[in-house]
Amino acid sequence: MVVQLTKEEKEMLAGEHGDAKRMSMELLVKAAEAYNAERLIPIASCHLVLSFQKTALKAGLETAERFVKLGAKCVVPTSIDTSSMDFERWEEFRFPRDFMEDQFRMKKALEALGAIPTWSCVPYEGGGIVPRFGQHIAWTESSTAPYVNSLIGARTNRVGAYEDLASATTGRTPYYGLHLDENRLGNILIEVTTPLTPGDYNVFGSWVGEVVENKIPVITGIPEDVRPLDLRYFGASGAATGSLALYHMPGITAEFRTVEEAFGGKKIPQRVQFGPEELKRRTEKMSSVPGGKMDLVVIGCPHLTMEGLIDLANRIKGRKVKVETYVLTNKVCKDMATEMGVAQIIEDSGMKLNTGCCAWSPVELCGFPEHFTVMANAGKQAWYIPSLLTQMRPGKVDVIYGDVDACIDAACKGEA
Amino acid sequence: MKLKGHKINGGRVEGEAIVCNDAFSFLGDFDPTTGNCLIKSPELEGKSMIDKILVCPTGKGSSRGPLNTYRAMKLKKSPKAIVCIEAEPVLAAAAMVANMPMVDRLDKNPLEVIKTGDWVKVDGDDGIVEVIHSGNQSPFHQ
Repeated sequence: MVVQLTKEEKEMLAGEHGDAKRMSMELLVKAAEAYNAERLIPIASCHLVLSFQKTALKAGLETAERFVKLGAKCVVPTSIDTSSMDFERWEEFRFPRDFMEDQFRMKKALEALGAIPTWSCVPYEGGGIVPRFGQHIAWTESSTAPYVNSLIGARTNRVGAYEDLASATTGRTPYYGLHLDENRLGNILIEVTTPLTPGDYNVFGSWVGEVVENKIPVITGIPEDVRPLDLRYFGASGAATGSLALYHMPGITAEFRTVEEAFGGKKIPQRVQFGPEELKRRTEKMSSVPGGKMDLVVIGCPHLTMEGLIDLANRIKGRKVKVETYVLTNKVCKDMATEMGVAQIIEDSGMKLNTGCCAWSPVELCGFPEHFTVMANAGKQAWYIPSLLTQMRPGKVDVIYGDVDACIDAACKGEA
Repeated sequence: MKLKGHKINGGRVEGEAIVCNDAFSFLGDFDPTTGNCLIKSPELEGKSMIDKILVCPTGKGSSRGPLNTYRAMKLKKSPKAIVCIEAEPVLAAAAMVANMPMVDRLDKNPLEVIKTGDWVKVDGDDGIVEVIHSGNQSPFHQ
């Protein structure tokens, strides 16, 4: 299919608006062709993942600096995903110097492109953009896509790295997939028949990601008082084990009021149940070791925002941790938590606020022993840490999964 | 055997297939500095993916996957092409930024037709995948 381009888009493709826009437009047109998109559409905002992790950072940095040299700018409001380092406390947290230098170069490049320095996987609670219902956007980061698509009802595909930069600098995205009404309907029903604790949403999300693959689940049996925070963990976990980008919980998420509506009035093609047995079995799969001593505890993936930080401070007040513990958050929330005294309570316990950083970066970069164990409160980390990090560095990294309370208890006792 | 499918990314290459039966992520399942597969299975773990044709159902996981294929391309540790049942945006972007031809929606299930070690020709421009079984391969090519 030939992609229909506007006059301005044709000019961009022809290089009349500079090389950065030409390269960006070439990539977007390629993607549009691949997905049989008839045209590109304007987007209202963008979220970038260019900066991350040792090897990927180098790839992203090269492109970001090239775009800066070519005079590129973000033409729509664009937030930045987590960094791999706390820009203030990098030395205290033992981030290697060469890595620090690359990370600061990336910061400079993205600022020159005019991106908003949210450095967060929760940009919508960190000085970034909150899209509106039905708005077309191009957001990367596996955990933000399910959140903004499902809870807010904005429209984005799971945009990959580079395509995000292409969208930010042209203000366009291919019109396909989740931008279209007909592709947003559910095609698998998941009936939850067990009560879920807040932490269980990580487990449920990890299970859902594996079960649904590319499908859009319609989920029933979730209590009305579920917090967006819990659903953030759910989405992040499902987007790590699978490619969950949109789900419907009628009555809770934005788009559909009833199950019938969520399936477009059509017959439900597939039904599965998530009951006590599934919860038990998937919980057992979350950890690579059943328990024991750990070397590091990471809390906050996605980033803890005010709700999570206040909750954590209430739980940790007056206690002391025996294990190095990082609490991941973004800059805006850290500043507010500092003003409220919440940050002090957390730091007094011995936990450390690691700001703007991804939960797994310290695990990868901060000089832990060859074989060591991390405890995490996030399904996404429970999935990535043992699979990826064990291979990316010598030795072996084990992970123990537990909810926030379990992580606090383990950090204070020194074992789980 | 020739399979007809749909172009995701253009270009024509050939190489040895590496078949992964689960959805693939270039962040988590692949190390761009060594070009090795990281999937924990006896057939795949530690196996080189350099210049191979990745055959998988679809993509999954982190949107940072394309950063890793771009990096691997620069280090000459990248696979050569991707053949999948149905593409997914992040996997497609991973192919595009690293100049890997990519074809999906073939008239036969590539996971049933292609085995690891088979020689595969991928024509991304016309969306055609040709499979030459490893049974035909030279005894010296092992």
